[in-house]
Amino acid sequence: MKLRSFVSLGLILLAQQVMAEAADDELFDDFALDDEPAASTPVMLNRLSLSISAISAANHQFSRFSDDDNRGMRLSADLLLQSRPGNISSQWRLAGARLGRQDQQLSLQWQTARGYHFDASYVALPWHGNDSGQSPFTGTSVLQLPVNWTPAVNASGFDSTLNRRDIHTGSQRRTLSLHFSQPLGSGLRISADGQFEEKKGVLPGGFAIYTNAANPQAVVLPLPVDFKTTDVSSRLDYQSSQLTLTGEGRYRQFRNRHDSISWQNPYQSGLGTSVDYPAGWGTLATAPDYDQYQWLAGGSYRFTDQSLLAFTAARAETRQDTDLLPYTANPLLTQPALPVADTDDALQTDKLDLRWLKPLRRNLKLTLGYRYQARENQASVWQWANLRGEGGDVQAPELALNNRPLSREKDQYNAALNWRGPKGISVTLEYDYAETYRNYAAVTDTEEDRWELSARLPGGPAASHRLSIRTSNLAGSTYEWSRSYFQEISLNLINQTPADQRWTNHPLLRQYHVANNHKTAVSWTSTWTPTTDWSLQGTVTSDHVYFDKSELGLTETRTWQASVNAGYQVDDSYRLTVWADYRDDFGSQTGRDFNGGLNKPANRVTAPLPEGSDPARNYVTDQNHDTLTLGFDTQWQMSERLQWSTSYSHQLSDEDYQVSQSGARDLADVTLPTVRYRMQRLTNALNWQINDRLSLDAAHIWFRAADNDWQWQDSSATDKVLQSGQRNTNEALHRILVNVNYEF
Amino acid sequence: MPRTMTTGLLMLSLLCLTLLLPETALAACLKCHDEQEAPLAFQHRTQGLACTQCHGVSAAHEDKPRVSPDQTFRAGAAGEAASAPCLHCHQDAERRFWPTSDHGQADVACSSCHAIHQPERNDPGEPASTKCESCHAAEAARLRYPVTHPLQAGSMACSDCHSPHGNEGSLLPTDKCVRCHQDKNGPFLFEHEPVTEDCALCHEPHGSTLPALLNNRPPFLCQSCHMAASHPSRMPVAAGGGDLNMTGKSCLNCHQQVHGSNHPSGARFTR
Repeated sequence: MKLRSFVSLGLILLAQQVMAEAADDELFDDFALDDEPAASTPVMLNRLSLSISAISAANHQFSRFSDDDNRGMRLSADLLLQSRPGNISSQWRLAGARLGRQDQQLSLQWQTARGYHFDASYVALPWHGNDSGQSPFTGTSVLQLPVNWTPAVNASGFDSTLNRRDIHTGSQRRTLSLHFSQPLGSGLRISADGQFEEKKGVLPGGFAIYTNAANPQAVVLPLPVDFKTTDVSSRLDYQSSQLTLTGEGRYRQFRNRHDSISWQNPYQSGLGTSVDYPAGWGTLATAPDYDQYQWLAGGSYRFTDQSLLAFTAARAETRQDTDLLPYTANPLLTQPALPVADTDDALQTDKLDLRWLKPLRRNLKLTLGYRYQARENQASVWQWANLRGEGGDVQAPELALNNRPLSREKDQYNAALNWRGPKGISVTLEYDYAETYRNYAAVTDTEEDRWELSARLPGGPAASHRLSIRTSNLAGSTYEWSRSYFQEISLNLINQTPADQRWTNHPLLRQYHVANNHKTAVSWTSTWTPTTDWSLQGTVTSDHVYFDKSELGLTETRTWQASVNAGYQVDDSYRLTVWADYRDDFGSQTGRDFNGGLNKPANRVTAPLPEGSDPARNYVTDQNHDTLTLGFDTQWQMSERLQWSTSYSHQLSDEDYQVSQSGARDLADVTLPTVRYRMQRLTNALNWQINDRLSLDAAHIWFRAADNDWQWQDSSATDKVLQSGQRNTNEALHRILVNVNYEF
Repeated sequence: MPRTMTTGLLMLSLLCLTLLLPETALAACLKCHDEQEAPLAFQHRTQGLACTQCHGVSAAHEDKPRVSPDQTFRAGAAGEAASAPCLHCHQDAERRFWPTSDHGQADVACSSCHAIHQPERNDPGEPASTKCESCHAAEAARLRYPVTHPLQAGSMACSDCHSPHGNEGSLLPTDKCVRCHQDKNGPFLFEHEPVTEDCALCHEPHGSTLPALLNNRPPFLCQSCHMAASHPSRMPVAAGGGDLNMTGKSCLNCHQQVHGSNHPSGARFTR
């Protein structure tokens, strides 16, 4: 009996298999296919490309992050090798891009069915800045003038042609990254990462020797960059059907090859033989070395499919104990003793993030969140002698300054209600409250309320819309004159300053990011695909910030932006996409102008008030910055093996500044020259699929970029700043690229 | 038949069924869907994933191919339903906050950004920045400005700064920036308040027409907080005697160390 049952079962199964195979023919009836699908050609997973490119002119804007900054030809190769998808025991992938160039990349990925995962990558990233500046100084971290240098009182008195060498503004960043992870079983996984980075280059920097603002002796010099950063981390993850846990430790080491930059004073303008050329020297401290340790823990518990609790907690401790430089590197000036040789204190940052997601009803969910962020600078406060700008001996003791180790704590509470309606409607209402405390700030406590309504609204089968409305209010505590500025200076000086002259901390003064303000932002995006041939997307955003209690500084900003993107498949072989974006930024800020020339004595009383407190000295600057970008892309499949594409983009940006007197009747209204930036790029490319394995790409790019920033026009003729003579961007070039691609 | 033989035949039958069924399931799909044309992404293949584990058993689709599978991932698919198969496995630390994230709340599906079947690339489909641009048009427009991060150059991705899955991890607002701009981390002896608060107070990270991604030009940027007293501050074309020192690098002609200074004489960020 039992045997017959098993035999029957087996025959039934066999019959089912036979019937399933026989039903194959019926499957294809629906597609009106006569035969089974033809065997496809195997996909070519590997590729080798050889490239040759030529560029017609030196540039910096076109080649900002590439190797095309100089005129000439370049050879490079791209490579992609990978394992077959059929090999399920392990998979690997080796890829190289732009090999042989300064912007080359190489990566290796390897993974096994058992879950071992190894990644290695090397990325070289150049950055090119404006290369048109020059300098008479030689050296790297000690910048010296030529022996035949002739000093002058003002920058215009220097010989502008003397011994100038190019400042090659730019940098090269090389990064090697390694990643390894493996499962340990029972839901555990361990991983380790290492990243080793080196950054070298030159940036233009401003360096000044002075005793007060009326007599700066400044130069723009090449500032060397030579950093090494090492990051290593290790992480343990646990994952089960309901619970995930993570523990991670990270270490960072930052080392700067140059502790300081010294430069020789080129001026001889009456500060004294100790300071003037040739004896005068200044020294600037560069970014200090530091070590950072970071710990992170996270987890989540899923009560049901719809309900979960998640948290992340992290602490980082950063220490720098770089030996402090002396007050001055000039041996001819008085050298007071430092209060401490190095700071050797920790900067501690903490973060805690908690979120709870709970379904209230079907299609209605509540999310509650709490976030804590803290920054604590544990450095002590010392009093530092005021050796103002190395322009003379140390100032009187009452002018000593304190350092301010800044700390901040923020508690943020968040609630969001999300409703999923019919036909894909989704609406979210969110409320956020944040309370922040800052030490050493004129405004110690701020509170911010934020409401946001966002919705995803389907507009029929071919359209969808997204709307977001956000409003927030930032309120700050009373502006305390005794904090901020006055905590920087000695008690003696505070006591010497009459109360009615402590204008710099007038309650109505600026402080921007902690100032009372109201913000409103609205955003609308519509996407429409009426047919398979058409796609349309439009976005409009508006942002308004009003600093309702600010009399000075930034008082209002307005931004609005509109973008449209339209794509049309003309026929099977031709597609056209056009796009446009317009952005308008407006800002208004109030300043207070003083009599008395360059060294404006704000404490001088022009009855009845010190100038610094006198609204009759106000002026307003209105700024408008608008940018229009237009472009199109076309793709034309000329034949089965030939494809042509053309793309064009045009960007036009204008900056306008209008200065108007608002009380200071001795000031005249003035409109500053418009700063106009124009950039165009036209690319034509041909792809020829010669056969199944071999293809050829040829491309031509025409590029044009120019601006007329008046801050850099004739910048060598400044008064007390020896500028580099950097010129505005003005590039026009052609680039030709030919790739031969072989797939296998 | 002896009992041991009966049991053995049953075991053998069950074993055959166990071995054949996933292959049978896979074979059923591969009759129409050529595996060569749509290989599974890197990691999924090595895990031996079958089509039905994401698309569902789809018996109706197998009977009549014009009927959609139980689960599809086409554009416009409801996010929660389309993401469920992915989240069934991908519950790790990176996706822990997904349901509470902005994308999760906005009903964005995993398949909106991740492409699991990609013939050209054998990895899980790390989304290129172009994917983000398809929704975030305002930010995408700024990526075309003259001064940007190297996203268009392919050396960076939006996910290097943003966490699309909602897990901000250990990062404070400034931490994202100092991951690459390590020299700005400090801590410095003399600190500049807005630098310790949020880099975006002065910089527009998506793109700008101004150097160093500034959102306004000096001196106006600096004068949004600082009084222009005891100082050159008037633009050179202004009436009443402007100041040429406001040209070139403007305030930074002297105040180079605007991110903080570690020099004993650096309280005014000139050292």
